[in-house]
Amino acid sequence: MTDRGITFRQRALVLVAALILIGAASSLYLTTLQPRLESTLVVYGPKGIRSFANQAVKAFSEKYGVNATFTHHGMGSIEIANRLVSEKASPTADVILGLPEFYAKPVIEAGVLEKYSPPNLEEIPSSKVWDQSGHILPVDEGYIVVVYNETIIAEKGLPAPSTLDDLLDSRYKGLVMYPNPVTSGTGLSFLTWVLTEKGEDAGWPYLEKLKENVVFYPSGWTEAMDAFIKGEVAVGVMFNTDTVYSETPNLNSTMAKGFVYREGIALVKGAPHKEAAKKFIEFMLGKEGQDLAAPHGYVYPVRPDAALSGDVEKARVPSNLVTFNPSLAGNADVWREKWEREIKGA
Amino acid sequence: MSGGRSGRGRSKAPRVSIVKVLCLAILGFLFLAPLINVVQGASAESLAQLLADPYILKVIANTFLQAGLSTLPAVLAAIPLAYFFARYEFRLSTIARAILLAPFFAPAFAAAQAFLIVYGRRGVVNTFLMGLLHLTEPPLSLLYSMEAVVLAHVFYYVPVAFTALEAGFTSIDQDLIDAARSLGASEWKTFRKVMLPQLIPSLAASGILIFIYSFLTFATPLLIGGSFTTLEVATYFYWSKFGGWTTAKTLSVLQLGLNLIFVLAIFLARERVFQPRMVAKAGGLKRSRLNLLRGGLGAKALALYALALLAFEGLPIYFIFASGFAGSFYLIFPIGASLESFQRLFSFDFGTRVTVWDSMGQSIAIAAVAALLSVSASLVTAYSIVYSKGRARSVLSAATSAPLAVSHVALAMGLYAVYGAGVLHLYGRWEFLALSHLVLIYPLATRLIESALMRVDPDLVDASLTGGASRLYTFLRVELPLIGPSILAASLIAFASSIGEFTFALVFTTGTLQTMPVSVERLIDFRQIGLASAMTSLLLTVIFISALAANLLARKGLGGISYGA
Repeated sequence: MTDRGITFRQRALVLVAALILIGAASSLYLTTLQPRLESTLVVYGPKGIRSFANQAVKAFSEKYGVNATFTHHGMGSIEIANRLVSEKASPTADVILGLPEFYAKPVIEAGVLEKYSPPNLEEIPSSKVWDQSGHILPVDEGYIVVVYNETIIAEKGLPAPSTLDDLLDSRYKGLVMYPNPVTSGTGLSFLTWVLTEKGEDAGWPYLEKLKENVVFYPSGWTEAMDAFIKGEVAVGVMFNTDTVYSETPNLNSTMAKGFVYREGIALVKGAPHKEAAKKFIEFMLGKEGQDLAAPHGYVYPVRPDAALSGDVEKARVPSNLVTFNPSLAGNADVWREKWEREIKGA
Repeated sequence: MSGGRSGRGRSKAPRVSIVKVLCLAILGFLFLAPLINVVQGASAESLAQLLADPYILKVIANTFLQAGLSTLPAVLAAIPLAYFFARYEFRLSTIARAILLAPFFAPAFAAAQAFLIVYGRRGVVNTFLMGLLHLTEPPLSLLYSMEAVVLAHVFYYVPVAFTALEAGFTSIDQDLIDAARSLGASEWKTFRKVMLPQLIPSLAASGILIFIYSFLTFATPLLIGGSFTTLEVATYFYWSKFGGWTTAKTLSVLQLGLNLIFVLAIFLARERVFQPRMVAKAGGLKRSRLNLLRGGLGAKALALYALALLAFEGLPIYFIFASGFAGSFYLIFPIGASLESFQRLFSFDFGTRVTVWDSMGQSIAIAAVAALLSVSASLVTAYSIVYSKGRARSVLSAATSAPLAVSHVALAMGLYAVYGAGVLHLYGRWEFLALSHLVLIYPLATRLIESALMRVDPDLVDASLTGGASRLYTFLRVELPLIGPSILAASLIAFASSIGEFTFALVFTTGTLQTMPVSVERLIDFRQIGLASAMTSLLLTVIFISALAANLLARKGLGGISYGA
């Protein structure tokens, strides 16, 4: 009994020690990789911009020897802006990147941003500067257009759609999608396009009518592209750069008309690392930061001398551009709920 | 053991008070604190508004409808399957079982991908039917509807019913069956009159569990449900999108209230599941080797049925794997199968100072920590349930069942408020993700360990205790070695659950914390869909191996894995 007791105890000890070792090793390993949030410059932004933002933050950190982190909290542009507002009393973010034009007003009015004009702002054409109050500086823009699968359209002998009204054609019934404005930035931009072009009074009835043609509302970019790739839909609304995406060779657009989605960067009022934050904003408006927009964000830089590459370089730009109607500013929150309840329904 | 379960530990009152206190502390820390935060944020006024809101009423009706429609076929489909596996032995049955276990862990986004390939307009099924029937248009339009959600739930939850029912079959007494057969009852009649009544507890338990899982469905309707909205999705929208925190919290409380009814039901059903096992130490069905050549029509039909269901469960999983090798979403068969995607994956620059190796390391390390902690917590919990008596037992059992029915959105809200923000401010740290996984895994791990502990022969424990051994010594020397394999199996299940968990992983990570699901998302950001598929294949490989190992271990121990009971 004693002998076996010892071996048992040894065995149990080894097992427990092994488990503790696994736990400790795992914890130690994870802790060494842990971002040290307390000592870094914190950049807030929507999930959709993370690829561009991560590259920018990395390049900035390497250049200035600062430990900068990009944080999206798993959120879209509206939510991250609301998060910033909710942290007004003690902000954790220094900079907000990717603030959309159509949600600028409530954020400015909430008083969470601080005006800042970096010295290199003058290198950006004044036509690109959309916030006249000077709180938010332009970073990039993208164009939302009507797209279609040319193979399926040809098979069915249908014309290529190019405008909002074309989408209502009953021959496209069961072929149309646009991303869900509640969960997708592209979808919200489309909703903004409709309400900008048609006004609220005609915009909502338009969406109601469009519903008859819509197959479904994909929750994000991946789901939308997948629906095109797998032939679930043939007509829809996406960014112009998606027409040259390698996985969707059949996707095309007439590029007759498009909506400009513009996003900016701003200094947070009471930023814990104000000087580094200013440097970061200047960096983002400079050539180095702007050069990252096309390859990593699939969007157009606002600096004329910034490099275009990849899909952004290949894609055609719509010939007519609709820009946001500022009198609609700040309603995106209300619109999304209204859309979910009245257009999509349960 | 005429006293049934309450007779456990009767001879020497075990010192469970410390364990019980510990158990309550775990529950309080993991569930009560976050949920109190949620309940505090709700308001009666908001509740009244919601219950008068036609949109919300429709959402509630939807939620009940799809849950009911998912549960029935999942349970019914699993009965013949479980019977087949309980009745026959055949080669590759371990692999077949692992294939049947895997869908439960398949990440929702990957399953949605696979569903598009299999059931899409231009998917495998439609292409096959179009060729067969000479059609020009795809005959089936399954996706983006409630039907798609239900189909996906059946896919996910047949394994739950299967494992529960397989365990149910082991509690059936073969002598009764032999008696019925020798009295001239047909096989079908024997099944109906002798086996089915004994299966009712497992049927009920797995049915309720599937109902709860379906009731809480989130990613599936979001990805393939089209405009079909459920309560969890609406709660998420109000929480994160519409800025309606009070509405979101009230919706969660409403959902919690509804779910408590099911928890009560599951608790009652579970009490019955274990009852017969304690009375009759039945060895289950007499198993025979499957011989398709000499077997009767029944055996052949059953084998065919099992094969069909295996295809239903296995094909989508196969396509997720295959797309990693094909390097593209729309190649259905990996004709040009290659490792190119994998080679590129391991040299990919995420631009975050994190490599694929780091990402895998982080996932595995977090899963290891979450699994170790959850299994330890579950062991304490299971022990205190099994060795409690009377009312204390009922309360504990109900309390530990409750977390199964808690909405993940509510948990996310509560966890963020209490541990993510606030004093601890764990948001963005790996500890926070590990904690959230611990919360998700704990209820399931508890069920697995509890059911193993229930099967330990009480006479062995009594013998040790009356022989003068201390309670701790008895636990370490008698019970732990017996349930050891089950604990390891539970650890692996916990590990696989953590690895396969996407929602919390995406919301709770930032900076250089980049677990495998986050890497998949980042690869999609870089428009590297082929690499994203390869990463998903890797993820599923880890999950599949864990499930296979868990299955083998659990068979070594006391009974198999049962998600359901």
